[in-house]
Amino acid sequence: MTTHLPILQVIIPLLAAPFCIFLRIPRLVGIFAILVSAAAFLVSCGLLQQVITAGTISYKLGGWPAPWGIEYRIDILNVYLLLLVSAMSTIVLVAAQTSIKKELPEDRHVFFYTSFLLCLTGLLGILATADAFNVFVFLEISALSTYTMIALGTDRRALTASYQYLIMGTIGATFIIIGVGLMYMMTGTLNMYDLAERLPEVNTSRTVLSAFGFFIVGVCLKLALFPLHLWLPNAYAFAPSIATAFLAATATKVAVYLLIRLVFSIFGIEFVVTVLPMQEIFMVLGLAGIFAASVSAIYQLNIKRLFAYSSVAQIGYMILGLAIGTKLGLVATLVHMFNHALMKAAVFLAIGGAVYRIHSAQLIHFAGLGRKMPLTMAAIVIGGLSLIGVPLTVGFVSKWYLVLALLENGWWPVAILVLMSSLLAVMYVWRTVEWIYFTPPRINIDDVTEAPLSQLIPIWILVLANIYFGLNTSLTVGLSKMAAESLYGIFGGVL
Amino acid sequence: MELVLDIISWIFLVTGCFFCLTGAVGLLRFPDFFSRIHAASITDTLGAGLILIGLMFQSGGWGLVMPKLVLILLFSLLASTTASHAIAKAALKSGLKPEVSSADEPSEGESSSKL
Amino acid sequence: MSDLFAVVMLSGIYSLISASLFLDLDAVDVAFTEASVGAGISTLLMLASLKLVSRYQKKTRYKPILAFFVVVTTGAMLIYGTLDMPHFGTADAPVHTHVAPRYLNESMGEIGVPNVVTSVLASYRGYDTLGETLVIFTAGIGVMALLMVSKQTKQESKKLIPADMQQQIILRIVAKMMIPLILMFALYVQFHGDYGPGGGFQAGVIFAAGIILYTMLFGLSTSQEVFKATTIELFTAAGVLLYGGVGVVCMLLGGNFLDYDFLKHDPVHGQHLGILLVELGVGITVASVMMIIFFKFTWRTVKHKYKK
Repeated sequence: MTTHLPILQVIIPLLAAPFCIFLRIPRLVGIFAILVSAAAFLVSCGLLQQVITAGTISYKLGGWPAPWGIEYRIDILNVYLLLLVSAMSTIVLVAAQTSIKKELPEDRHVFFYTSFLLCLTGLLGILATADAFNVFVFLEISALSTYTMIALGTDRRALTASYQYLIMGTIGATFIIIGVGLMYMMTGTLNMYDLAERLPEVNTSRTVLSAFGFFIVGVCLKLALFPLHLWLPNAYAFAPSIATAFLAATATKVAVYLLIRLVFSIFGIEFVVTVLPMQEIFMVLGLAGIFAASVSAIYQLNIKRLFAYSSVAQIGYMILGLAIGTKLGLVATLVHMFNHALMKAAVFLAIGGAVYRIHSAQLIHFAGLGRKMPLTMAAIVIGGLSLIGVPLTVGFVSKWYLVLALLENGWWPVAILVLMSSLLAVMYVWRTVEWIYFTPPRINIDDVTEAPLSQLIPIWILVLANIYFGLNTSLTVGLSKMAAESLYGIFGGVL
Repeated sequence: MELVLDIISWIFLVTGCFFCLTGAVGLLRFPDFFSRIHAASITDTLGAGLILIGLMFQSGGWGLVMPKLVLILLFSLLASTTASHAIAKAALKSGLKPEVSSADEPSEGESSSKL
Repeated sequence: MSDLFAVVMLSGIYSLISASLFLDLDAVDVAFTEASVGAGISTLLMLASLKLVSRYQKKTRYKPILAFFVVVTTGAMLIYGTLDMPHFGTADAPVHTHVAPRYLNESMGEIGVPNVVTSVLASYRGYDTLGETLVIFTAGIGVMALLMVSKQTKQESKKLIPADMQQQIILRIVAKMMIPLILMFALYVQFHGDYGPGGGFQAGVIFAAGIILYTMLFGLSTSQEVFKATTIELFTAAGVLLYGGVGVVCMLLGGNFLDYDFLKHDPVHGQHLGILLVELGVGITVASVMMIIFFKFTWRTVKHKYKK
C-alpha cells in the first residue's frame, strides 16, 4: 500500500466528497470530513518520511509511463506543502463543527463539507501532480468549490464577492490553460519534467514567451498578487469564517507553489530572469503590494477584511523572496508560506470564534471583547504579533530570512523598506488591539463567553505552533532548504 | 441507371437549394415576423428535405447511410416544423400581431411601406 | 448589449459555429461536445436562469474600458504567440512527433478501442477525465447548495404547478414522440463512444436534454415523480464514485490507480471493461448534474410565481 501513497493523498478526499452526499446527516458528515482530512494528513506524513529516506517518488496513473500518461511526482517541495495543506484543513475542520452549525442553515451543512473536501482535493491534486494539464483540472475543482463556500456566507454580499472571485478566477484559469496549450503546441508534451527538458530547444520562440506570460498572469491572479488582488478582500470578508480560515491558510500558498514550480521546474530560473525582467517586476509588485495592502488594512472597519488585506501584503513578502532569485530568497519564501498559513489560520479561526459569539465581524463590535473572551482574543493578538514579526513568533523567522536574503544580495534599500513595512503591520494590529482591549463595549456583550472548546483547542494548537515554530525552526527551515536545494539542483548553478 | 439516379438526385438537390435560397431571401425581405418565420421554415422543410432526398439517391444503395438520412429527414421534418410552430405561437402569445391580415387588407400598402 | 436574451442566443450561435470549426479541423469528438454542451445544454440553462432574473441588464456605473483593455491585450498576446507556431498541419510539428504517435500507433494494441480520442480520454489520461467529472460534480454541488428548495415550497406547490405548456398540444405530442428517441440516442452515444465520436459527456448531456424537454412540457411535478430531486442528488455522487471505484478496484487488484489492465486477465479486455465503466460513471454524473441544475432553477421560478 505504501507505493500508492501519492495517489491516496488525493483520492481519499476525492472519493470522500461524493460519499458525503450519501451520508446525509450533517453531524455525521462533519465527523467524516475530519477523519478524511486526518487520513490525508497521515498520508502526507508517510510521504514525507518516504521522500526523506528514498528521494523523489514517481507514481504512474493508469500504469502509463510519464509523457503519455499522467504522473504524480512527489519531491520535497510537494510534500512540504501537502503536509501544510492537509494539516491546516484538519485543524480547521475540527473548529468547523460548531462554527458551521451557527453560521449556516442546517440543510446546507452537508454541501459545505462536501465543498470543503472538494477544495481540499483540488489543492492536494495541484500539489501532487507533475502534469501541466492535470494542474488545470484540479485548479478548477478547488476554484469551483471555493466559489461555493464563499457564496454560502450569511451576508448577501457574499454572493457578489463570490461572483467577483468567479470572474477573476475564471480569467486566471483561462490564462493558465492558454499557457499550457501554447506550451503543448511547442513541445508536444504536458508532463512538467518532460516540458522542462524540451522547452530549452524552443524557448526563444515568441509562442513560448507568450505561454510564459499567460501562465504567469494567470497564476498571479490566483495568488492575488497586487494589483490583481481585488477579489480577495471581499471574498475573505464575506465567506463563512471557517472557509476564510482555510482559504487564507492554503489557497494562495498553493498558487505560490504553482508559481515556484513554473519558474523553477518548468521554465528554469535562467530563462525567467534572462528573457523577461521578472526579478524587477516581482520586486516592484511585491513591494507595492506590501505597502498598498498594509495601508488599506489600517483603514478597514471589518476585522476579516483587515486581515484579508494583510494577507495580500504577506503575499507581497513571498513574491519578494522569489524576486531575489537566490537560494536563500527561495528559502525565505517557502518558510513564509508555512508560517503565514499558521498565523492566518490562527487569526481567522479566532475571529471565527468571536463571530460565533457576537454574530458580527465589525471591528466596532469587538470593542471590550478582551475581557469577555480572553483566550480567543489573545490568539488574535499573538497572530497579529506574528504578522508584525516580533521575535519568538514565526513571523520573526520569516522576516529574518527575507532580510538576510535581501542583504546577501546587496538589496539593502529593499531590506529597509521591508522593515519599514513592519511598522504598517504594527499600526493595523495595534488598531485591533485598541478596539479589543481599550475601548468600552459598543453593543451588549454581557452574556458573551469564551468560544466553545471545540474551537478554542484548534485555535490554541495553531497559536502554540506559531510560537513553537518561531523557536524551533528545524522543520520549516530544514525542509525549505532541502526544497530550495533540489529546485536549484535541477538547473545547477546559483545566480 | 447510374445516370438516371444522378439526374434525379440532382433535380432534388437543385430544387432544394432553390428553396433554401428563396427562404433566405424571404427571411430578409418579408415585412413582418410571421411571414418571415414562414420563409425560414421553408428552408428547413422543403429546402433541407429535398436536399436530403437528393442525397439519398447519391448514397448508393441500402447501406448504413440511407437509413441515417431517412432518420435525419424524419427528425428535421418533425422538429423544425414544431419549432416554427412554437416560435410563432410564442410570438402571438407575447402580443405580436401579424401586420398583414385579412381584416386590414386596405392598409397593406402602408404597413409594408413602414418597414 | 443590454438585452440578455440576445446575449444568450449569440453565445449559443458562437458555440455552434465553433463546433463547426472543430468539425472542420477534424476534431469530431470536440465538435460533438461543443455542440451538445456549449450550444445545447448551456444555452438552455442560461435561458432558465434568465427566467429568474430580468431580461434586460441594469444600467451600470462601470465603464467597460478595463474589460476592453484586457480583451485587446489578451488578443494581442495570443496573436503574438501564434507568430512562431509551427504552421497548421505541419507533419513534423512537436505535437505530432512526441507524444501523439504512440497514441495513434499503439492504442489499438494496448487498449483495443478504435476511437483514439476515447482511449486517450478514458485510459491514457483517464485521471484528467476523473477530474473533469469531479468539476461537473462540484458545479452541481454549488448549485444544490446555493439554490436550496425548502420543504415548505415543495409542499405548497405540490399540486399547484401546472405545466406552462398545458395548451401546447402539438408540442406535447411531438415531444412525446421525440423524447424516447432522444433518450435512446443518448444511450447509443454513451455506449458507442468506443467506436465513434461520443462518450459519457455528450451522452449525459443529451439524456438530460430529453428529460428537461419533458419537464418543460409536462410540468415539474410530473417529471419529479420519476426523477426525484433527492435521488438525482445521489446519482450525481454515484457517477463519480463509480469512476473512482473502478480506479480503486484496479489498485486492489495490484495495479496502479485506474490501471484497467488488471481488471481482467487479458489487458485489452480489462481496458474495454474499464473504459465502459468509467464512461458510464461520467454519463451518470453529467446527466444528473444537468438535470439537477435545471430542476433547481425551475423550483426557483415556481417559488417566485406561487409565493405571492
